[in-house]
Amino acid sequence: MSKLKSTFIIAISILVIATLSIDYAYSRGGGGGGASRSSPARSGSMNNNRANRTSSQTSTRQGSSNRSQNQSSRQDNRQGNSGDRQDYRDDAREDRQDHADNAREDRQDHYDDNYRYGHGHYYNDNNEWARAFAAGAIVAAGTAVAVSAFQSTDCPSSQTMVGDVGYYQCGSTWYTKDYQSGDVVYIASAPPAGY
Amino acid sequence: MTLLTRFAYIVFLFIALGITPPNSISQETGSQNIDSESITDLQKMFDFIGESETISVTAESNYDARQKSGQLIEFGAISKWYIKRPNHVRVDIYNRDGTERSFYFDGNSITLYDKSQNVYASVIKKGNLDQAFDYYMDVLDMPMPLAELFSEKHPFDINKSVISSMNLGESKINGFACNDVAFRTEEVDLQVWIEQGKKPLPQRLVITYKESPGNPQYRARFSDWNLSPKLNNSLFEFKPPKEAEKIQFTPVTNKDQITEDKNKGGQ
Repeated sequence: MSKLKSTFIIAISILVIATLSIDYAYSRGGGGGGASRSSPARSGSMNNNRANRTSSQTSTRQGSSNRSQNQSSRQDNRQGNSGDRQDYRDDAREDRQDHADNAREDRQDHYDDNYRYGHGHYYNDNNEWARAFAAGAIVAAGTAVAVSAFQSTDCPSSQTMVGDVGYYQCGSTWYTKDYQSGDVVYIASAPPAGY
Repeated sequence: MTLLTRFAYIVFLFIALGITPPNSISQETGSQNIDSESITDLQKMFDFIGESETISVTAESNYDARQKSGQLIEFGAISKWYIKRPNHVRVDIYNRDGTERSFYFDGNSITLYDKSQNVYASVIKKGNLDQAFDYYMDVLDMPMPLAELFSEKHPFDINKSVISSMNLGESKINGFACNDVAFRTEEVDLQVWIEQGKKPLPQRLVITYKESPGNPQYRARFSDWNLSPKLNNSLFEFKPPKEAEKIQFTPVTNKDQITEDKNKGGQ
């Protein structure tokens, strides 16, 4: 009986230590220098729609037809005469409403990605991706990896040019280097044609 | 009146006083919180900048990024702006962490060069400054603080979006006598120090994102405003440095749209 009891205590202790270690590992996360740069304030925008977009860079939500439509509706060349200003006001109000809806969804997605599922599809400089990568995790297409995380592995630093686009092969996954939400990142993509 | 009754009476009085709405609440929704003079100041500032054909200015800016712990961490940069309307802009950005970037628009294409990593991305985009800024921020999904300030259109509809405005009086910034004015829209709070006199230029501004946890801020202080700088066209042309690697703009949300736009020549 006492043997069973001590085995149980040891098992629990191991579990607790393991849990603490994982927590510790994850709590060290962040951006360059250990802090995340993601913030609505990074946009410096006086228009909250843009601000929310910048803060939700971890969102994996694809496609936003509203935004595209809004964009084209704002393409008119407005030279500041009063008629145009009025148009802009109307557009802006509609945009605001559409964007407000999007922003709310984005915020929710951002929350889901960050707090429910870990870091969603954006891996910051915290080597989290490197750990996942080392552990042989499958990297989903569209996953963005910070440059420092990518460089902390032994993935090749030279690119394979396919047409106009440079690719980096790391393990079985191909990456392109891109600007995304203000950062330079590696994005997992489908293998280039012929590979 | 027994002691108990008196006590109950006092308690009742306290409760009654406690739930009486203070006067300020009724005032907050009223139009008396709009100071028309500060609204005019803000409009004049945007119009003045929007109508200036050439501009060069330096902005020292910083912003708060809220960490998971709740702590606000500040990041900052110095950006040098060169504008030649209708369709030329260059911005050199020197981040505090030592990284440097340059943004180019020459009426035909938008380029962002990252000197630290020696990479650049370029997209065809024809149009004026506003169209380039909108495309960059809304379609390419890249942050471009202060672009709205240099736009010909106002960043928000001042007459309809501002729910409160205040004139805080004269204030000196960088040695310039400024009107210190503060505004609230539903989403952001804005405080601007606008130079008094014939050139209503901002000397400082603060934007508070009050809907976001921790109320992070973006702050900028301006120096060396010049409205008649000599700007050669070569300043706005990007020539890739040796070994610079060409990369892509890949927005999180608009990937399909960008491909479509690229095929159409970004118009």
